[in-house]
Amino acid sequence: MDSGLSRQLFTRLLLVAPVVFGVVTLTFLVARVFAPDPVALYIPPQADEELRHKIRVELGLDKSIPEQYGVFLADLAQGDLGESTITGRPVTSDLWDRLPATVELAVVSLTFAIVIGVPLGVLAGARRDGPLDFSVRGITLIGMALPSFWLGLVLILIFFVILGWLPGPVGRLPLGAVAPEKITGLYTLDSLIRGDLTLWWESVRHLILPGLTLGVVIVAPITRVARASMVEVMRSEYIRTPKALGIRKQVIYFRYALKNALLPIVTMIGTIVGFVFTGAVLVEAVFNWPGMGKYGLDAILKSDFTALQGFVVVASVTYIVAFFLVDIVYMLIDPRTR
Amino acid sequence: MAVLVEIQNLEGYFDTIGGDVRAINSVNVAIEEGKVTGLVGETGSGKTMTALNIPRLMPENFRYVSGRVLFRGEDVLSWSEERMQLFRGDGVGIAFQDPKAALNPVFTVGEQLGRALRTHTDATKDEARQAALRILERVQITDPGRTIRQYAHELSGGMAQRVMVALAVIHPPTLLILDEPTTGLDVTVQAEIISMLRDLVESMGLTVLLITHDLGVVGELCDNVAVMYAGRTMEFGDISQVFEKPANPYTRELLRSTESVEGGVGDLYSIPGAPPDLRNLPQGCFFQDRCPSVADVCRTVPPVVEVEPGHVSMCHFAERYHSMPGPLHITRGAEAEGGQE
Amino acid sequence: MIDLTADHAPEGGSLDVIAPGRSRWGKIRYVFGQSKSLTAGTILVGIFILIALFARFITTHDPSAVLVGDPLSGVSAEHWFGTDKVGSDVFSKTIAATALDLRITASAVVSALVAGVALGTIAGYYAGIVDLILLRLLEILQSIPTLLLAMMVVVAIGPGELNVVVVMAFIGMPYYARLVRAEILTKRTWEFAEAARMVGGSATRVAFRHLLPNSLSPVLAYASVNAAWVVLVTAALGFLGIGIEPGTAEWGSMIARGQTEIITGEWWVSVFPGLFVLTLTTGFYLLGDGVRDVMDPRSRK
Repeated sequence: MDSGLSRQLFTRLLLVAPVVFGVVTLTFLVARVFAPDPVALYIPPQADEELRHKIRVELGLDKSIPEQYGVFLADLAQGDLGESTITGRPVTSDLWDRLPATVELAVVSLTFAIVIGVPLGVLAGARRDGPLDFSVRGITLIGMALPSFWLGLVLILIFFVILGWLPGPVGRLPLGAVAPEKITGLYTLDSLIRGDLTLWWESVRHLILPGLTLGVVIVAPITRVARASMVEVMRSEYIRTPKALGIRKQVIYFRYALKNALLPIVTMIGTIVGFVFTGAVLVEAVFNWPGMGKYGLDAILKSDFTALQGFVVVASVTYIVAFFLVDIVYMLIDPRTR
Repeated sequence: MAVLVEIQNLEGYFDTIGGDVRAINSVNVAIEEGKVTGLVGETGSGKTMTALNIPRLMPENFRYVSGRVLFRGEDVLSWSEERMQLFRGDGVGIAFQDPKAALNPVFTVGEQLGRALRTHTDATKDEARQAALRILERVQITDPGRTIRQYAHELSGGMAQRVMVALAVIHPPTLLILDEPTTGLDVTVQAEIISMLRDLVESMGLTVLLITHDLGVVGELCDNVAVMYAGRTMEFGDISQVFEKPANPYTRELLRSTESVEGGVGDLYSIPGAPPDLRNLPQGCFFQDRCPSVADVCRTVPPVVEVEPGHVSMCHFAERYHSMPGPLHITRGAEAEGGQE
Repeated sequence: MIDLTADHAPEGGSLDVIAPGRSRWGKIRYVFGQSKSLTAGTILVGIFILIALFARFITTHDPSAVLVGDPLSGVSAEHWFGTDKVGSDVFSKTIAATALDLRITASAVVSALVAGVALGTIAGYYAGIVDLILLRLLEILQSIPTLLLAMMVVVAIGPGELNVVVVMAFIGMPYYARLVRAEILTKRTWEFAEAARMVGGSATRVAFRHLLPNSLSPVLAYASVNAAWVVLVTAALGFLGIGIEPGTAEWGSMIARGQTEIITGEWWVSVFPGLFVLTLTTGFYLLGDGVRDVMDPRSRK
């Protein structure tokens, strides 16, 4: 079985390769062909043509598009995403520095969404059209319809402005606070390791609102998929069989049906993992959270196309990796896909 | 022999978008303890729906009009859901038709068997495993140690059917319902399953309700038989009574069509016409449009006539049909060598 | 054997199948009776369409005028949603923005639907190499996070209503194509398509006249979800300041303008436009759920 498993995974990798290649190419094209002249970012508009040319040569923009593409690919193959025009540092180090902030946010929001969404969806779907199902359908529908950035503002209004329980949108720590010395980059962990409980408490408090906002945004689709998948499974003949054997309902729901219903749920969680790592742009923007999404946003707003290009490549690869992981989980759950 | 289950005047319909589908219209069946009772009829005649009333597994949109389902004299339709849950798998077990769809695709055969046993007994996981191996042997699976680790999609049709039966009897129920146990299998496998079932029923002393559209299977396995048409039991009685002296034109036509298949000579006979639309049933007898001896009186609901002790027929002309010479001699084992449809 | 329940569940499709033998008005009433979501969604979206159509008569002040009241004055009889920091009337701006956001949504959804359905039909009908290439292209497009893609392209081609519509349509299209393609592939072997081909219908004719109409119900359900997405992303682009030209009344940019006021307590500047986004999006999602309820016979009681 194991050799079959690894062969399957290898085949999947082969299938994924052209997609990655396509994404990279598309990103390059959008960034290069459409983006405004990046040279303008370096120098004042009144600079002479000679200086312009010098910078062009330095950035490799004097070459033709196919040549630039070749250079881009060659660099990419070595894991080099180029240098950010704005920060002047390699895009890879920029992104690496921002990863911990994103990881903290992702872990909090995903935990929230999965712990609440999956059981709720399963129960609602198992007792379709019951009172719980009705409420779950209604609430998740509104959850799907909530603009995340607006939700973030409303939560700030309630918990910071009105109640004063939680800090405002100032990022990961209070203004002026010094970050704990970097071990993992996760403030909540590093402060604990350093034994600084005050700092730990601050980092936790700052994480709650953005985590909750993102969590509310992603709990809705997880719950809905869990419910829909469960409804589908409950209709199937193989669920009638344990019922006919006198097996208790709770056992049927959570031991039998949940495992059958898990594939679409896992797929959705995979999509969402991809989303929270790079697509949480809006939530990060509202809370001034220095994560990867915010980096991508700044790159777009400041026309930093090298950074943008690097970011999109990383984002897409994250998605693809997430789906690859989903495939592996599939094979573990469902013997038919082995 | 004592009557275990008695279905009396059962009537009900499905509430659907397109109107009421009257699936069950006057069903009367008595299942005797220790015997095999057949429920035979064409597809759509309400056999499975009738049987599903005993463990109360009807689809949600089923509505009762009248009737009782007595288990040892008690009406199961009046029981609480908690009591039903204890009853299912213990009082009544089912081997569903299409076992590949009825077995859970993501659990091994062993896991499903173990859970079925442990629901009704205090068996440990290891004891359950031993019991699973033993029951797989009893349904004549050659390598139980291997099958126990397999998933439904890895089983052949015949194997899946055996596993389905094993699942229903690993904790032996008082009444076992077998739903189309030979359908979809090829002829040799059918014969094996029939012989396995006969051994199993005899050695375990099971009371069985067997659903099939195949009169040959009825002849092989059953003691009593109920013939169903458009949700009605047209005839009920001892298998030799019904097969040798049928008191209902529908039974007669059914036997005739089977005979022409079994005999393999001459024209293949099939009953002319089609069963009525369950959404729009005719007044009176439901077989009137296809009946060779239809008369004006057939526009009224036929009476249930007891033509001889234990042999009833729902027909205005039951007595007349009963006194006609018998069409056939399908009795137990009589055509064991003959092919089935 | 569920043979009895199987045959009375009609295939989804036209109203005739769903509610046979009823008058036209009776059919419509019957369909709405089937799904509360459909009714609620239709009413909500309907209200927004009315607001958009009659925006001019509903607004109490000139939406683009400044200092029609004291800056940042709260909710009052004069200014139902208060005023922002330049003294514009938030209610009038929110109403005016309804017309803009709905216009963008409608244009983007219709364009995406038409282009996607055409592509999907072609891919589904001509299986093989055309299908394969198309599928890979769509997959690439879908591997880039949608909001990011939208932001990237809008920044590249510049702000403006038309540009936003084009980008939204472009991103929405692949989903339609995939849906239609999958539907057509399952229905390709349908006897009537075979029959149409047998009596000499041309390939295109068969694809568009016979296969397509039978694949439309999931497309309609998806169009509502797509509309909800367009509303949300348009607002998000406005919020980030990269969608519509700066200064235009648009829900997202209005929320962004009130961002600092949230902290200082003047909540109305952001909250009201956000409520409009939320309500309209909810309406579209309800509509999508409703269409699916009615079209999918199994999800009905």
